[in-house]
Amino acid sequence: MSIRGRLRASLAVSLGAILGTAAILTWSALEGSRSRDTEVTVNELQKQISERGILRDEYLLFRDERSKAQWESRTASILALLESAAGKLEGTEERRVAGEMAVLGRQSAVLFGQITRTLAAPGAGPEGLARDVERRDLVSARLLAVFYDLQANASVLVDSAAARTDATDRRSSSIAFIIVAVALGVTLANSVAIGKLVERRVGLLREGAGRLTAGDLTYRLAVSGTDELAEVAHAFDTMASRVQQHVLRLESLNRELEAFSYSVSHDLRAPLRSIDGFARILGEDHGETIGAEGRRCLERIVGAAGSMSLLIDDLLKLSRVSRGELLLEDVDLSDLARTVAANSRPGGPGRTIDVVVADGVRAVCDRGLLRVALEDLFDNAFKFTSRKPQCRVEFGTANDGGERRYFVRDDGAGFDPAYAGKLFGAFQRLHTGVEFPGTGIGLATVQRIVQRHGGRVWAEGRVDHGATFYFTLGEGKP
Amino acid sequence: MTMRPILLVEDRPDDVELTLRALKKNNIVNEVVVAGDGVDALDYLFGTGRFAGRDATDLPALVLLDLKLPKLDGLEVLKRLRSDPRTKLVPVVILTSSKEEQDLVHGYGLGANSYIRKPVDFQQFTEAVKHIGLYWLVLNEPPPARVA
Repeated sequence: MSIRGRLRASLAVSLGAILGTAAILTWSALEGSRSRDTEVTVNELQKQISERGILRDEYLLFRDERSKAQWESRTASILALLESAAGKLEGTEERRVAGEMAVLGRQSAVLFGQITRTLAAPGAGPEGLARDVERRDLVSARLLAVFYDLQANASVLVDSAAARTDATDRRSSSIAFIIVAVALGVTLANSVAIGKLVERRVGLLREGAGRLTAGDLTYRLAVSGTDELAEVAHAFDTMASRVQQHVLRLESLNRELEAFSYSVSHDLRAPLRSIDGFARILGEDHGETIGAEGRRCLERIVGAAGSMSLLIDDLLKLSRVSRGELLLEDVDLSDLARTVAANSRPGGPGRTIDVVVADGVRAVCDRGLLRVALEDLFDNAFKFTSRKPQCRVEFGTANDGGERRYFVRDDGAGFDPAYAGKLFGAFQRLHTGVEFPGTGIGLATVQRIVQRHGGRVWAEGRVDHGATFYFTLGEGKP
Repeated sequence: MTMRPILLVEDRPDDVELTLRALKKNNIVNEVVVAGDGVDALDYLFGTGRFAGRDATDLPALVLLDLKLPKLDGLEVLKRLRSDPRTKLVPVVILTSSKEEQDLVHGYGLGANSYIRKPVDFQQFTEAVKHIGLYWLVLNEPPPARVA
C-alpha cells in the first residue's frame, strides 16, 4: 500500500471519526431535548395531579365553587397533557400507563360529577341526607383511590422519562467513545506502518548511495513494492545502471584513447625517423652532387621532421595529463619551481636570467602534473624573454578574496591582451614560429592540469611589457 | 672487444638500414643478424625454424630488441628468452619508439638490461648506438658465450 494511500486512509478515518462523533452528539442533543421535553410534560402532569388532589379536598371541605371550577379546569389540562404526552412517549408500557391514566382521569371526572350533583341536590329528610353522605363518602373514597392510582402512574412515567434521558446520554457517549477509539487505533496502526516502511526504505537507500559513492557500480537495491519510496528505489537502480553504463563507456573510450596514443607515439615517429635519417644520409653521401640548394632543402626536411617529433611529444603529454588518477599530496611548490627552473633554464651565452622563487609555497596537488605545468610555464617564460639580454622570471602567490593564486611572471615579449583568451587553446599561437618556436600545446597542457585540480588559469600582459600567468588549484572547494 | 654477432630484432626495413648505418659509422664491425619478427628472433636464439641446426648455446654478444613486432611482440620475446636457461643471461637492450611508462616498467620487469628510446634525430640515434656499442661490446664483460 502506498504511503499516500495510508495517509489518505488515516485522514479519512479521522474525518469520519469527527463527523461520526458530531452526528452522535447532535443525535444525543436532539434525543436529550426530546426526552427532557417528555420529562417536563410528565413532571407537569404529576404536579397538576397533586394540585388537583388539593383542590378536590378544598371543595369537599368548603364547598367552594371556585375550587370546583379550578378542579374541572385542571382535569381538562391533565387530559390535554396526557394527550400531548401520548405522542411523545416511546415505550409501549409508558403508552399503556398513559392510556390507563386517561381512563382514570375520565373516571375521576365522572366521580367528581356525582359528588357535585349530590351536593347540589341534597336528598329530602334525614334519611335522604344520610344516604347522600354515605354515597358521597363512597364516591370520595373511590375518587381518592383513582387519585392514588393516577399519582402512582405519574411517578412511573416520571421515572421512566428520567431513565430514558440517562440511557440516551450513556448510549451516545459510548458510541462516541467507540468511534474515537477505532479512529485512533486505525491512525496509530497506519503511522506505525508508515514509520517502519520509511525507516526500512531510507536505510536501504542510504546504504545504496554509500555503496555507489564508494565505487560499487553493480550494487542495486532491488526493492519490491509499489509505495513511493519503492519508486524512488527503482529510480535509484535505474540511475545506478546508467552511471554504470556511462562509466563502462568511458573506460572503453579511455582504453581506445590509450591505444591511440600508443600508436601515435610508436607509429607516427617511425616514418619521421626514416625521413630524418635518410635526409641526413643523402646529405652526407651525396651532398656534393645535390649542391647548396639541395642541402638547404634537406635541412628544411630535417627541421620539419624535428618539429613534428616535438608536436607528437607535446600531444602525447597533453593526452597523458588528461588521463590517470589524480594523486593528491602536500607539495612544496617553491622547491618544485626551483628544480624545474634550474632544469629548463636555457644555457646560452649573453643572457642573464634572474629567477626569483617565493619561499614556502605549498599546495595539495598532484606532484607529477604540477611539475609538467610549471615546466611549461617556465619554458614559456624563458622562451618569450629570449630576445632580452637581461630578464627576470618570478614564481609566487597572491591572494584575492580568499582565493589563492599562483603565478609565473616574466618581463619578456608579452602579448596583446585582446588575444588573451586564445592563449590556452591547443595549437593556438600568438607569435609566428620564426619569432618564437613552439607547438602551441604547452599552455593547453597547463590549462588541462589546472582544470583537473578544479582550478583555472588566465594571463595578463601587454606587448613588450611581459606576461603573468595566474592559476588556482580549486583549494577550498568541496 | 667481443666479436660475437649482434641480433637486431626489427621489423621496419628503414630502421634496419639506419641501425646498420649507425653501427658501421661507429666502427662496430660485428656480424649483425636481423630478425624481422618475434618468432624469427626466437628461432635464431633457440636454433629452430629457418635457423634450425644453429647451436643455441652460442649466444649473441647483444640483442637489440624492438617492442612492436609482428607475430610475437618484443616483451613476449624477452619473457621467453629470460625463462630459458640457455638465453637468460644474454644482454638485451630495448630499442623502441615507445616512451610509455608501462613499456618501460614491463621491459625492466622482464629483465631488460637497458631501455633506449629511438630519437627521431638520426644524429642523436647514431650517438645512442655509439654508446650502446661502446658499453655492451667494449666496456661490459659479457657472460660466457656458452652457458653450461
